[in-house]
This record gives sequence, structure tokens and C-alpha cells, in this order.
Amino acid sequence: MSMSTVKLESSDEKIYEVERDIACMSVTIKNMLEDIGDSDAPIPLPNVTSTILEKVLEYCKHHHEHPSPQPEDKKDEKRLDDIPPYDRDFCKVDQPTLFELILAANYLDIKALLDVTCKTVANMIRGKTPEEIRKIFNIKNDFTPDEEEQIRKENEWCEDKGN
Amino acid sequence: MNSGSSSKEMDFYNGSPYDGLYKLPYEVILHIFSFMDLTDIKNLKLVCKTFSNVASEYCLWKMFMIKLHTSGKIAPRVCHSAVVYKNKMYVYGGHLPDSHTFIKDVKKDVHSFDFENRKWNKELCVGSDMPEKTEHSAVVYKNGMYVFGGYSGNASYLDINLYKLDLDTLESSVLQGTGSKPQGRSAHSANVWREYMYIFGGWNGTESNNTFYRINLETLEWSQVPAKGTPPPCIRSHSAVIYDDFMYIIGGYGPNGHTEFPYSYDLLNNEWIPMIDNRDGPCSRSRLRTVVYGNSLWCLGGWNRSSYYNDLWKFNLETRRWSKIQSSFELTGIGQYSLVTYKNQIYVYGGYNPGTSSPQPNLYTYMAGPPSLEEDDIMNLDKIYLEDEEMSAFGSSSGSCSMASIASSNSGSSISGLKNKNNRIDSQNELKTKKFKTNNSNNNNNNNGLNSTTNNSTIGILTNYSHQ
Repeated sequence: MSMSTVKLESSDEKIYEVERDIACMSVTIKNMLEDIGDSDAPIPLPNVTSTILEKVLEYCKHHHEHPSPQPEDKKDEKRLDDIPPYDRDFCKVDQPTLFELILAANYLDIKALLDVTCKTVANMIRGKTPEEIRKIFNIKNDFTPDEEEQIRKENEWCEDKGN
Repeated sequence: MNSGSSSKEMDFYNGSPYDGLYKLPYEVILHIFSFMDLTDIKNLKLVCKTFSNVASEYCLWKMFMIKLHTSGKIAPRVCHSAVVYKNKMYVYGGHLPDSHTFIKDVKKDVHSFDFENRKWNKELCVGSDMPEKTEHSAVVYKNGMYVFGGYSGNASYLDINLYKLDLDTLESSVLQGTGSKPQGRSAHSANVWREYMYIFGGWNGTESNNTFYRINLETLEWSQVPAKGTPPPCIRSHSAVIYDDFMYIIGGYGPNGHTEFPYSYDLLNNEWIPMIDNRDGPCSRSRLRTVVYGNSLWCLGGWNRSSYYNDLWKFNLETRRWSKIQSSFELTGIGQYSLVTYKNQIYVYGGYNPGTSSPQPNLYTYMAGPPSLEEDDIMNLDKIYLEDEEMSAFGSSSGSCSMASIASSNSGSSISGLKNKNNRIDSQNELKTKKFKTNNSNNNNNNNGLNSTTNNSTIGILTNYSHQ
């Protein structure tokens, strides 16, 4: 007898009762449920805060109710402009939240969410210079001028598009 | 607010957990980078050391047919020959097409391209001039390039001399040969097996044929190949390679249309074997080339008599299955180019570009395998056999990105070897089942995720590595 809901526990010990099908959009949770069998005990997710878990569950719920008509393997992997409107809005969050979502999607193994969050970051990078990329993500340039020059030289072996 | 921004920076560097892009696990950064194009990947290499390492991963670079930056260029051409000897590719002959069918300006020049310094050089031959040739064949045997057949005017279809260019001395000579000589031809195939050069099919100025000859390159004696079985039909502009005592013929066109499937020829038992179960690849086309890399045949583009393709395919000789490589290539189509391998890369030079209706002048490369493996890596490759179809075909976004770590650089190219071979080998079993970090035992997303996950993920597409 399989229960229709499961309980998930965030790192800050909040418990969420979720439809089993929705929870199982996370491959990690699905595997855990298979391992432990039927149980009333909440599943601990020590890497996911309640704030992020709520966002993730919101995402899963939406996609559970609105399944994507496009089969996964048909999608052009490199395309960055194919993010559906809901997902695009979903990813309009500050950087720390976005990175937390990426980590949660990675940990929970929710491929669609991982792809869309990573594509959102990729969109922030595309077409930018190294200095612009550093600025956007607040990254320190840890190269010495010599090392930087060396990489520039290495980069010369292939030409950019349009040359 | 000044204090605000500086405290934010402090948090960032001192480790508030996940607010920095570069603190994401290695594989996740790699996944993000897998959506970028080549220009972005080059820029990412310049951002910081972490990004530089991730952006050097082989699995990112194998998404692209990369246009090489070369020192010097040579006159654009199609239907030339290209062979590899030592660290150079030798390009000979070819022509400048009027359109994609009419031949003009047949060339006799020899150029070399040095793979290590990416430099083109015109070679001046000693002795008798090499003749003007296009749609000819060239093979390497010992230190010689052997040229047969080809077109340089209608009379040239009668030319059944063998031309030898000594690649050490650049001395050229004409070899008459003895025995049962083949009819002159162009757009045929030629391959070396043991001390023999085998030629098959081609065009004699009026028709295609499926005659099959070989010449002993030591004695220069020609003979007809005593082939049993069902040979390919009369064809021309096909491609042929030899691997492991078998010759493979891919593509080709003749009076009965295109070949619909590849043919193999068992060189030990002298028997043709039509590969009727392998028609789901780049068949039914001509003007393509094929090379062997690792345990696969690789072919690119070609022509179906109405349009040109730009797709890269490989045929795995172990699994005997075709797979299409989803590499990004700026040309919409290509045919009549040359295709060679050097180290881990496939090189595409020249050929007809339908986009401009002229020969394309560039040298493109594709990383068919991970770079710069050392001797002991090569020894280990035999033991590490991954399901490479699944793994290699543009696997990054499907989560099965392979992680040949390509951190530091070697000469000339920014992509270098596996930085952590022991871990690579230990972790190969994990990689099959695990995408990113998904299992419970590995869920400590700490600040050092980068380092720890790097060690878990240093693994490459190992099956494709050539033993040459």
C-alpha cells in the first residue's frame, strides 16, 4: 500500500506534506522512498532550507500540473532562449537564491530545474567579457598578469566565430 | 553604501555558503558552461583559475567543430589529398571549382601543415615535378606519399603511374609498376594494408566502376584483388578506411544511385561483406571522407546530389552502431574536403562550401578524444570501457558529461591531459550510474565542494583513444 503523500523535512526542521508524485520528481527523494519503503517518518533534506524547499516544491507542483509537451531528448541542448515563461519568471531571483536553487536541484536531482537554473546563469554569462563576468558574479581575478597573458596566448589556437 | 558592499565582499570570500558562482560544485559549473558557445568558453578561461580549469574540460570542447587559427593560409581547394606523416599534414593537388561540379585550375603544389605550431608551409619538391592532380588518392607507406589516379585533363584518366613523394627528402619520383594494372581513374579510394595499397571504384571519365586492385609497394607489382562475396556496386566519390584487417566503404554514387549501406571487406579472407544492417548512418551520399580514430570510423558531411550535409558521424566498430555527434559547425554543408587525424583530433581542410558556392579556406578540428594522454594512460584505456555512445554524444546537458580534466596546457593547444589519472580510473564505475551529486553518501555541499567533487569526476571519454 503506497501512501499518496510524503513528508519532507528541511534543514531548519520545517515539515512539508507533499503529494508523492510531486516529491518523486526529485530522483533523490524517489530513491530514498524506494529504500525506506512506506513510512510515516519525514524525509530529512539537510541540504535544503525551508525557503528554498518551498520554491522547489512550487516549481515541481507547477510542472506536475502543467506537464511539458516537449519530450526531454528533443530539446536542443545548447539553446538558451527556450526557457518557458513560467520558468523564466521563477528564476528571477537574486543571485544567492539562484545558486541555492541550483544546489538544491543538483542535490535533489531534478533535471528540469537544474537545467533551467543553469541556463539562467549561462544567459548572464553569454556574450560578456571576462571582466564583465567577474563583475556580475563578484569574482576576484586570481591570475597574475603573466598567467593571464599565457591564457590569452593559448586561446589563440582557435578562432572565434565570424573570423 | 561603502560598508555594505565591502561586507558583502567579505561574506563572499570568507565563505557564506552558496552565494558565489565559483563556489558551486565543479560539475555544476561545468553544466552551466555546457550551454555556452566557444567564444564564451574562451572568455571564461580568463575569469579566474577555477573557471579556467572548468572551461578547459574536454567535454565542453568536443561540442564544437573548431576553426583553427593558423599561421598562413593556402589557396582554397577541393578534391585535394591530405596525408599525415610525423607531425605534419601534407596537402597535395585539388582544384578550384567553377560550381560544385566543374573542374578548373587543377593544382600540383604540395603544402605541409605543422600540427604543433599550426603553420602552413609550401614544400618545394626535388626531382621530377608532381603532376597536376585532383580527385586523386594519396596514402602514406613508410616514408613515402603514394599518389594514384586523379584528373588533370581528359587524357589524365589514362595515367596509371604511381607517384611517390619521399616525405623526408621531398624527392618525387614516377613509378611505373608491373603486373595486371588497373584502368586509370579518379574519385576512387586508396588504402594501405600491410605492404599493399588497395584501390577501389572511381570514375574513368565516362563511367563509374567497382574494380578492385592492389599494388605491392615493395615490389611495385599490381594485381587484381581475388575478392569473393558481394562487392559494392559501381561507384565513385565514396570513402574508404582500413581498421583491423577490414576495409570499410562508406557512401559513393554510381549508375544505380547511392550505396544505401556501408560495405566491409575482409582483407584476410578476401571477402566482401555488405553491411545491410548499418544503413542508419551517413549513407546515400558521396563526396564525404572517413577516418579511423579509436575504435570508430568518423565521417563528415557529403552530398546527396541536391544538398550538402554538415553532420559528423561515428561508427563504433565494437558495437557496430552509428551515432551522430551533435557538434556545432558553422558551415551548413561540406564535401570534397580532406579528413585526417593527428593525436586526439580530427582535421578537416578545404572542401566545397555550399553556403558560399566556393571552397572553404579554413582548417577545422574536432576533438575526437581526450587530449594528451600519456603512455600509461593509454595502457589503462583498454581496461576502461565505457558505454561511449551514451557518454560521448554531447552528453553534458543530459547530465552525463564526461570529465576529462584538462587543466594545464601543453604546447600549442590550450587543452591538455587528464590531470588526475588515478582518480579517473577509480571513479569510472561511479560515473556510469551517477550524474552530478545525487546520492546520499555524497551530499555534503560544503564550501570545498569544488575540490572534493573534482576528484570524483576526473574521467574522460576513454574508449575513443587511438593507440597510434
